[in-house]
Amino acid sequence: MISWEIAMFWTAVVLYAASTVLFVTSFVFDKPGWEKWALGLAGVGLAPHSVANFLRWIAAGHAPYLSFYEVTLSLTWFAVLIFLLTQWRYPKMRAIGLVVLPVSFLLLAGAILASKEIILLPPTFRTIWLSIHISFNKLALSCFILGAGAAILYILKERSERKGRVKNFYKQLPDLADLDELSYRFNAAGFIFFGITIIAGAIWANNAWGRYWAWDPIETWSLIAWLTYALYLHLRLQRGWRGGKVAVVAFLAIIAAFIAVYGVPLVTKTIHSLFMAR
Amino acid sequence: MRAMERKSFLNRIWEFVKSRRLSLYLLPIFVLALIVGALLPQGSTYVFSSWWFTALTFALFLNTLFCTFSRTRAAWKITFRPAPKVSPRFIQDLKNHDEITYEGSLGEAIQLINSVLSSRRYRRTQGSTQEGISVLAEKGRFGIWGSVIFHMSFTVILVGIIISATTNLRGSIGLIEGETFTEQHQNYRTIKEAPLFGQNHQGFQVRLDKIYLTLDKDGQPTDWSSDLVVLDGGEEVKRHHVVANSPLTYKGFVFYQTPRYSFSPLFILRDSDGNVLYNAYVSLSLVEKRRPEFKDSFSIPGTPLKVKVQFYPDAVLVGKQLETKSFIPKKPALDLEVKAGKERVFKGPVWLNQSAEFLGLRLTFTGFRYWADFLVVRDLGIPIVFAGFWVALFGIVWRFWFTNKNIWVLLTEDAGKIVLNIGGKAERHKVLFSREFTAIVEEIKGRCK
Repeated sequence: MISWEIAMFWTAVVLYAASTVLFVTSFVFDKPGWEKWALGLAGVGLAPHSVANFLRWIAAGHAPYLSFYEVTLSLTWFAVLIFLLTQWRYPKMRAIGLVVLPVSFLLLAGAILASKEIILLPPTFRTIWLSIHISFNKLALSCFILGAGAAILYILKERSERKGRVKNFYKQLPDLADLDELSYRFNAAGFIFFGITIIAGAIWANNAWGRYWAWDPIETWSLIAWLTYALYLHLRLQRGWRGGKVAVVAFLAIIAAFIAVYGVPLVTKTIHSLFMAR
Repeated sequence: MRAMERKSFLNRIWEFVKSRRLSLYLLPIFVLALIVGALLPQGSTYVFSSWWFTALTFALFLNTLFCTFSRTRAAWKITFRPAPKVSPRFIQDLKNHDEITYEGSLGEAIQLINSVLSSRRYRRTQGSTQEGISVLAEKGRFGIWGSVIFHMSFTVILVGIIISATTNLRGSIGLIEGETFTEQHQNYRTIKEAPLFGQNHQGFQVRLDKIYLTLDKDGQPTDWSSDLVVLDGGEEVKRHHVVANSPLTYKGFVFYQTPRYSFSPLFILRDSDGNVLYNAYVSLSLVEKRRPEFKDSFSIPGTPLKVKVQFYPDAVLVGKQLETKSFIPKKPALDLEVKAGKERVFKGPVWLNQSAEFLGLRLTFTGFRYWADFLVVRDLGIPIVFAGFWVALFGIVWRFWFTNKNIWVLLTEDAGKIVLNIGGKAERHKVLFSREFTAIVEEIKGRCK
């Protein structure tokens, strides 16, 4: 008998996949009406996704943030939710769905292969600081995904304009200045949220283990990501770097952020990996 | 001439050290060093404790500090700068500017400008110039201070880190239930004192009254907590139930519960006349395997006896071998081996309240208690580091929340009509400001009709 959680999970994956197909089709084949259907499907997909998160929370006795499966389940939920909310307020944002939705549905589909074993919350994890740490981490990563999405679209559109061959697809995207500004704003917001993540993590670590920093691999990679975003902001604000040039720095930073969350726990033993590697 | 050349050279060095350009070199170098340290298996030892990494960190902090001082002066000048002389030429030189003709009185035009700008929360100052009436509208004047505060916080954090590194203490103690620890250097099981910790041991006492274990169905502990009592000057001054994330703090010393626990069986050794030769709890080590084991060896003082013991909390005999069904101490037993010099004099199981007899002596297992490990930390730098974190957060949020924007309007009378020269600029988000400026101009034009 298939559990309700898995059924809701797969429903969300299918709806996000369908939304991705419609999104790409609407832009590539210049069918603006399909964009609304794509957004609608993504919004509908968020419902079973929310239910899956909720059911997992009930079953595990804690929010879904331990194990690869749970981390992906909650992170993609944040990413899709933030995208839908911001595109509703700022319609020019919609094009970023071309990156956010495929990334979300692929991550989610990958998570189905991971172990779904419920991990008990260890005593040191029972603190409000962990909730703050994880919530802001998810906000930060979601912002970074959206920022990277805007940067990718910028690079594609700028390249096509430079070659003088602007296809209909690129004409539907926001102006280069808008894409650049969106990328910057999401990365800046992510930078603040990631800073809060690191601070909350340090306070939690001090309360739990008597030290706020121990060069744990995840701590180190998080600092690497945060400082790389700091470099991105400095290059943009001080040196006036824009567009593709500064996007490269942001891409390196988001890679470091994902190494911290996904990569490190899978290959080495850390405070976090105890619960991610299973 | 040489003095001038030296001064010029020193000036150039100083300009470079406090330049923001240097930070653009130091940041990626620092990040690369972090990556190297993260990738090396012993990164913590070889990289993060190395002299060159420490020097690099200091260089980055110093550059940040000097840049911040430099920025403070610039921020002061920007915040308290005198208002520029507004003229049509000044406004036309701005990237965002426009000209609007208003058919009405000067007073009505001023009211219109104020109404539009106040609805967008601009603070307005009116003045008069040779050319006409000027209205200066401004938002986020103090926004630049957010950057100063954010970068200054790194100095606070660095001070905290230096205090931590030079004055802290980290140690561990093991306490049996009922046992008292006196806070002195020699009483720690392990201890590491920073160079400037000095003679800061306080001499108070901490007594472990009870250990609580939450056990799962197999009897494996899933949670640990303890009741600790602080005695100072012979008087009880504090009690605390120590759990994960809730340590005991007293006089700057923090006692953290760790998951390391074990058992301490009580041994009484009697001679053939019944005289007690030895009466003590012996703390056994926790050997962490798939199933934890509690064992150790010890010598009995004043005798040639050496005892090897393994504790089975819920023992059952399988053949001649003891095994434990769970970790709940329902039916405890010991697997005991006693040697007198090189000769083994006893080997076998001993149940609670039973004895091992050898060489006319009787070694009785009469009871047991839990013992637990506590991590002890004294770190005066932590509150300063955390204060730095909060200052950094405050600064960065302030910086991104407030953006300095200025709009100038010059109203002049020309052939019975009012000419509005309007221009504006923002220090950041220039694209967004251009849109806002256009919207303001459109609104004014719309209300002029």
